[in-house]
Amino acid sequence: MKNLLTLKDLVVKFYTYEGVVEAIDGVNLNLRDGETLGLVGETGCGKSVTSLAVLVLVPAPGKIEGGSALLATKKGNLELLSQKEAVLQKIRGDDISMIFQDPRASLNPVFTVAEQVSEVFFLHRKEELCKRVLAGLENDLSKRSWKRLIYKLERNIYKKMSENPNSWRLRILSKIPIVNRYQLRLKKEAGKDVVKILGLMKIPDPERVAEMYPHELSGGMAQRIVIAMALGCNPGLLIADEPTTNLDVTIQAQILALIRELREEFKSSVLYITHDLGVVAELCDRVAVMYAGNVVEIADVMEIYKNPLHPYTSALLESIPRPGKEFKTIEGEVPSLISPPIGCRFNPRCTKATELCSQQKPTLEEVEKDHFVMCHLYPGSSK
Amino acid sequence: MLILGSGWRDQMGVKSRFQEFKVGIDPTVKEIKFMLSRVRKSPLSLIGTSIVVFYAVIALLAPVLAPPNPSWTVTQISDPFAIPREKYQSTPSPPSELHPFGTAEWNYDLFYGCIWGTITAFRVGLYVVFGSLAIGLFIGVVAGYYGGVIDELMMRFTDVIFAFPGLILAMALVTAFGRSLDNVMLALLLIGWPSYTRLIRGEILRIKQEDYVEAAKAVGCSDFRVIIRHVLPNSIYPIVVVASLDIGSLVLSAAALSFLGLGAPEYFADWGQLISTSQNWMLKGWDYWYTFIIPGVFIFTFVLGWNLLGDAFRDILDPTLRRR
Amino acid sequence: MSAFIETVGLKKYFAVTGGVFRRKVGDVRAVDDVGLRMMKGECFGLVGESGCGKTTFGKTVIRLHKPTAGHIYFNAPDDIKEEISKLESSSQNSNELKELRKRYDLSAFKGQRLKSARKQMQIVYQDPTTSLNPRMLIKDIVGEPLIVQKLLKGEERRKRVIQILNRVGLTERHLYRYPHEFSGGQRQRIAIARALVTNPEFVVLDEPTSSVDVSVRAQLLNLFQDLQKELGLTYLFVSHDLSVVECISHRVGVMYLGKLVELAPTAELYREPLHPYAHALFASIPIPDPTKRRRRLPLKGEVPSPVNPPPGCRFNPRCEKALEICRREEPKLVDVRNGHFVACHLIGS
Repeated sequence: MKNLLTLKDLVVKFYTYEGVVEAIDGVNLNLRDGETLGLVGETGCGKSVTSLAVLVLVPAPGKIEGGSALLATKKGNLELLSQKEAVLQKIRGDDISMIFQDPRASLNPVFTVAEQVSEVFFLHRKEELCKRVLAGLENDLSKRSWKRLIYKLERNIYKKMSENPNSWRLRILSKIPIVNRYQLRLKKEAGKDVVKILGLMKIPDPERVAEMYPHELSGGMAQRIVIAMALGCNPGLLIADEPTTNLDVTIQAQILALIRELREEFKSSVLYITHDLGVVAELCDRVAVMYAGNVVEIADVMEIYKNPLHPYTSALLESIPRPGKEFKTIEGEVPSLISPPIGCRFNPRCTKATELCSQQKPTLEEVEKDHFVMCHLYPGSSK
Repeated sequence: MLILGSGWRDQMGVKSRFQEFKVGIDPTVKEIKFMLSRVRKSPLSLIGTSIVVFYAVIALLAPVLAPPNPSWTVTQISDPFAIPREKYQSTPSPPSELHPFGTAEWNYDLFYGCIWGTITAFRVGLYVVFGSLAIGLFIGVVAGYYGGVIDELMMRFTDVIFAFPGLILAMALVTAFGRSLDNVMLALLLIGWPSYTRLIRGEILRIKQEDYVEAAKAVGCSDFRVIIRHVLPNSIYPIVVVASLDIGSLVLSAAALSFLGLGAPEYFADWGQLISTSQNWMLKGWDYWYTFIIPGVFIFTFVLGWNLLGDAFRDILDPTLRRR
Repeated sequence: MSAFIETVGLKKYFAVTGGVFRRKVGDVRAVDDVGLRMMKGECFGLVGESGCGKTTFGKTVIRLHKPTAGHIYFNAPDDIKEEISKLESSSQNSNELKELRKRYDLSAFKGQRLKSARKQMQIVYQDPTTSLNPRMLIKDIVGEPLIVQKLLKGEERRKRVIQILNRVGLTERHLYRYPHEFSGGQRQRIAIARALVTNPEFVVLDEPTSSVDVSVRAQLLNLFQDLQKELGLTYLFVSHDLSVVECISHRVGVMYLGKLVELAPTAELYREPLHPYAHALFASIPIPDPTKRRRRLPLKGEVPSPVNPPPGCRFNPRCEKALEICRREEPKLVDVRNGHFVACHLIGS
């Protein structure tokens, strides 16, 4: 199976007042075409930073210091970390989309739902929209009407737009008050697309919802709108950063079911970031476990729940509360990433730590078939 | 940071009072150090701070730099703010050895006027700001915390005061009570407090809903304690920023009113008043530049210093930027 | 056995104002006629989704909100409660009723009596970042209840603060620090210390583990259990995390739109939820076992607004088994077997 996204030795550091935070220290990950990969870890382990690094959106004072992120496109592998901003802007929203944790924070409160969802169409699908508008214009021109002159002007504008959407002439035209009514046609075409995609999100009465403002929506509805924005241009990769954490359990079940259906329809791969092991079991094909800036284990979902190899993974699975049994905890706390432990970062809390663990950092190796672990306990990881 | 020789006390298990104090203020010291580092990083903040410090030093050293009642004065001075003059000459004279900045109309010594004017400027700024803060905070806190009818009444009252024209009020006070800087300060105070009220009320409305305020009530804190201990300390920072910016603009307003003849009397050491006396000489060409340029520079840099300091405060105290 | 804490017909409505003159146009019926009994030393779990009123209920029980109607009895003898309900039903607004209520009914306490009652009941909030004053030192945060309630002074207070911090797993070194210097789990421990410093008997835990990590969650839950055994505390554990509630509570109540729809001992409720909403709720929990993936969507639709609840049983628009009577009449909470209460027309009639 082909890899859609390959992360190799990714390093991200944050230069703060307190010191240099080594948020991600050599992350290796591959996401295969069409699969759903769950990225599990606690707060501060670096999973959100990893996803932001893929999109090269790491906020200051963070810097991507090393490694590579390869995206498989039709023209071969693209190294995301070395691309210019203009190229990246084309990729974001079109090839890779992201949805965030708080749907209310992801929606701009002063724009309607239709305006926000159609933004993604305006950015990436302008030529198609122009073609459709032109087809509609031809239709209008064939009828006899006193507005023929206006239609002819509009046709000229749209022809220019389909050739060069960002020309300066068009930009000036779009600012002039009455003249810029030509954009209404474009908005109407985009509006049709919006209603279609809202329907795909199983939103009841999409025409009415499209005219609403975000504050009128409930949490579950808002998250569906955000997913609609992300999937509007049918990206190959969808990154979901804890999209259901803030939602109620029943709404979460609805959103998870929706994601399951959508990935069938849109055939996109999903990188699902969460700290909830139950959600991962429901939704994902493979699971990657992160701890303190490293991916410590990657395996198939059945395998990882049945046979966790890394001590952290097994401790995590044991700490899930089970009725009647005592709560198993993991001793200690997540280490400060400003001065992380030497060697394996989990060694201060690991019950099976050896001398070697506090001296040398292990590497991520394939220990069993398609089961990668980063731990000295398994041969092949210590070199 | 142990004190030399106190180690033995630790070993004996006796904690000295001073050590306890040191441990107690340690987190505050850390906070202050962090704030200072942020000031150091921004050059404009440094400039603002140094200007204000410079003027503060001048104000403190005024009796030394420009001693009152010098030997050459013709008028007897009882009030140090009365500017001395050498003779009763109506035209200003340029800077000379005896008068480093020259003299203004009626031969008032500009150097003395500018130095003692610094103290006046600080007085005006600080009195009016602190007075406005006192009134504004009280009304704003009560309105914001209790809400409801009290809030409505107080806010409508504040709106009325907002609409009041300050210039007219100053003129009315001067007409009634005579021309003095105190009347100008009173006028500025009376129309200055509403902006603080609005600000603090907004902040309190926000802080009031935080969990820790409710937790304090759950413990049984009285309203007074909740306000003083929990709500105010967390809402005061935007006020500090606005207050420091205000000091500059208040000095400007006071100078403008003095220029119009509503403020300090003619002999008084106040920058605005000095410029006021140079009205007749401004258009007579460049010969008398020192009468208005020098006090003007003082006003300009003083206000600039406070503005930059206010910006610096805002940058340092901005909660979103605070946590590194 | 007499209940330690009992609420009778507790209601909390929030007024909705509208229009130019801000007239009251409606009520948000956050808690609508909830009556339950909590025994001493038990952990009572209260679950439901956002908007169901569980947090409001928890806060109303400890008088952070003033109840719109109803009674709250804190360690009151049974005969007094009967007396009060008798006097009320005979609708005499007698002085005797007022006197009794002033002495025993928490919802009628005022002033000094209310303040000293607060010693006995405390709350731990969900988000430790916002529940601790960012400008106060830990020693002041934890020591404040002692100051306000005038319990201990000076050196004794300091000793008590250190003692309680040690009990929750922190040390004396942490006294002179600000909350932002701690991790989430530690902050929650500070909040717990603050709640326990006056030696309360009843603690409302408002989703205390929702904002912390999985590994810290287990540590905190262990701490809660140890403290309960050691200090004989009674907990009201409000949460939307059903798996956590299952492990720590003795009995669990399920709320929907301000009403209590089911109440039972934990094991029985989780094994066999009778109310259709409770059933759908438990079926929605994601199970951390990939072999047990569910295929059917348990519950469709969204929670209606608490300002205009549907007539009759509040769940009827989303209920697949709704009958005609469900649209007209609200079901009462009845004991269907051995302490398992359900409010549903399908069961219990």
